[in-house]
Amino acid sequence: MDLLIDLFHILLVDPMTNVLVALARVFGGNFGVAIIVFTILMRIVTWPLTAKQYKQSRAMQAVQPKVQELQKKYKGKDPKKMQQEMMALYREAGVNPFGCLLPILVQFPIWIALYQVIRTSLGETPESLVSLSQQLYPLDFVQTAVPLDNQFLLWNLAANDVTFILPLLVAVTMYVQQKMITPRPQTGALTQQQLQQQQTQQMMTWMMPLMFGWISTTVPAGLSLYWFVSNLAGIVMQYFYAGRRVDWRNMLSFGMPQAAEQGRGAKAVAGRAQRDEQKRKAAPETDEEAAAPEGADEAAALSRRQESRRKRHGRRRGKR
Amino acid sequence: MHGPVPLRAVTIDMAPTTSIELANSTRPIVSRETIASPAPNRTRNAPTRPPLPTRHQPSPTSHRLRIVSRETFRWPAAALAALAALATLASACAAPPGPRGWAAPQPVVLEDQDYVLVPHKDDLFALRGENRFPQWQFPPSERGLYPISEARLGVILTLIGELYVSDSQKDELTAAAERLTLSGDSDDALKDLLKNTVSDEEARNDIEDIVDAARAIENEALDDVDGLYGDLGVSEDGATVYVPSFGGWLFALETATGETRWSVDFKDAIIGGVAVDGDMLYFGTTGEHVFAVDASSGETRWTFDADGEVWAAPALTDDAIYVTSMGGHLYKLDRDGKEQWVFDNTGAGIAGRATVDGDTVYVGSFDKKLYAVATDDGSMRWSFEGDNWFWSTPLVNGDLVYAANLDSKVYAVRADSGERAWRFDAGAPVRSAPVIAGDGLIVAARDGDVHKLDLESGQAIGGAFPLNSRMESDLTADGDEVYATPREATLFVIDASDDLGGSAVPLR
Repeated sequence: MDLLIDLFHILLVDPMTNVLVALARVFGGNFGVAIIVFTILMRIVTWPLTAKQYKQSRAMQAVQPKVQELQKKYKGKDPKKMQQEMMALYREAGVNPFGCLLPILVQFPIWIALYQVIRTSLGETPESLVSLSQQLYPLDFVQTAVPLDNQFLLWNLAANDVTFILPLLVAVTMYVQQKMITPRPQTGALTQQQLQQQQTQQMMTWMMPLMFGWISTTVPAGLSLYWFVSNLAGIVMQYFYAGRRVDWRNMLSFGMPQAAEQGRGAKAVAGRAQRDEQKRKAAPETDEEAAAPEGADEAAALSRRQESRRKRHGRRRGKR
Repeated sequence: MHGPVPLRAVTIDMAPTTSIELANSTRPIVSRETIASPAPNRTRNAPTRPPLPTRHQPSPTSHRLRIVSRETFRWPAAALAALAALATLASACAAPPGPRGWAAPQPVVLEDQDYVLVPHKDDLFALRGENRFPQWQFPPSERGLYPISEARLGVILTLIGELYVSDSQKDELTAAAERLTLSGDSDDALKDLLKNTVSDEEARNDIEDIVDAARAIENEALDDVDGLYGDLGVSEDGATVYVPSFGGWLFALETATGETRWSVDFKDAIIGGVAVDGDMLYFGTTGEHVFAVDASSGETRWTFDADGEVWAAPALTDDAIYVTSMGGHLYKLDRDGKEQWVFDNTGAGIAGRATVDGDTVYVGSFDKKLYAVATDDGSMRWSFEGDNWFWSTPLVNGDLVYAANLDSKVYAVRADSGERAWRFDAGAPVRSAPVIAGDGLIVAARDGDVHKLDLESGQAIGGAFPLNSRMESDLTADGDEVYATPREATLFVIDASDDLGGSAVPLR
């Protein structure tokens, strides 16, 4: 365990601490600016992982209709066969069932290291300053940069934010970020499982912001600033990654999905599919990745992707 | 506690038997190449393939954890996930601690009675000197028995004295007020008595409000101690001890009982100690102020605005006060708080207390240098550079200045020239200020080892005395004895008369 902690510090915490302190020195000792720049840098560095996570989330969403079809088909019989088919489906769609989780897991140590770096660098307690002295590399530029200026705009970054502005900003930006990556609730006929899944998703979109907003009132404002900037960077990245598919109107929908009446739901699905079809005819798609299939048109898009994949694989096999 | 990784409810639709299961398969896991392009004759329906076991058919032999399915198993993914989970756990365990406090023990002599006051974390323990028997603890463990402070009781008694009631009724009210404690129903007796004896409702309400406010404020003060970092101040007669807290409160306690004489909230953390001079107390706060307050009441006499947080107690001489700041400045103030000069040649913060010896003041800085500055005009005499920060208070003995550094070394520097006389490698950073006891220099390293060094040569005398706990607080010398309180709740009494040896007194 000690070895693991040492490795964690040598590989993550110490380098990040030195970069943050060096940035603070570059920006005239202002720790607030250093946190902002550092958070953005970290977001950029971890972008490949984040992008993979977004991509896998979308792919997982896209494949859900097929999965549900399989579940219906094999309901109560031959779960092994269903599993095998499901795995085949995931494989063909390029989805790893753990694909969404793995990038998050890999990022966890980075985020936690960052949390420690900020707490230590802030010199929240005298002990943390002693620890900082041992983490700084023997370079005058970083070793003599302490203490850092904890005052940034309204806030003392080493103390709790008594204005509650940062916790509010953290909660709001996290809510927007969650909304951006949560698919719009389906309005068609929903099975109990779909309904439950959607309710969980909707709950997460406001539970997480509330939780982080509350935590932000109990930690040094420097951490809240980091969370706020990190969320903001996440929103920007998600916006550019998802492009115009961001459903801004969905931001204000707080409600839970309701099980729709079967007939009306079916009509809604049919109508939506028809509209999507018309749209596709009007503007033929050029970028397969850019148009994330959603709702009723997901299956069609998935089929096209699978077909495309098969062709690519076929070509590769042919070359061999 | 982690960063705002965007989380969403991800439902992985899989049959229950295929999520994670113990399988007793003895077949080899297929290679990555096979997964990438499975051979046609190895389909799921191949007749030669034995049926996959399920959790309902456990085998007693050869159990193996199988994730999802053999076809989708990825070693790198599993290894990464495991590594990430372990690192998460490790980092959570290694989270920076909250304030722990590192104030030094303080021996006090009061009317021929010896006490040792031992701060630890956010508690202060008073032990009898001869047998180390506990006398009291602050903040008190039982607030229902702890009286409100003398100062606030005084206000209540003044109001009672102004009431239009008979002398005997005043006596009764006074007695009830003197029984007021910080919690419990001690206030009910006073309020009932007020109701029965005082007809003036406004006057009665005033007293009741004051009583409620006094109890609330004093409870809040006890809740806000947070940690004890600054050295305790003791009045000349030993009857009062002044306790600065990380929570910003300064308490004046009666040494014999631990009861509060007065408590004042100075809003910002008091990390450095309190310097006592007669009826005045001097200290600095992280609010970038230096305060001079009346020792009898806690009332502020003057303040001085520094250019940064003040983390160390002021050093006093007959006519001046030397204050260091995390802005990297050393100030000389007169006794009225007027700035005489400022030394600002340091390139980083100063967290340690200055030491004045004759016409020179010595101070260590986070720019890795120890400075000698002339007391008359603030000019630099010399500087000496270590490999890390100088934090602890320098100690002057004859023509040598001893200074501990966070680079794990203790340096002896010649006071006249700033040249190094010797250095000692303590094996771990040294935050604690060294002291002289038993004709040796006593040094405590952060790893908990206490060393005795020869004053002239810096050679270790005997072996190290292990405290077996992290040590960041200052040592206190009392004759040949040295008191040490490491992070563990124990007072070590080290006999430095010969090779180091000693005893441990558990505090909790």
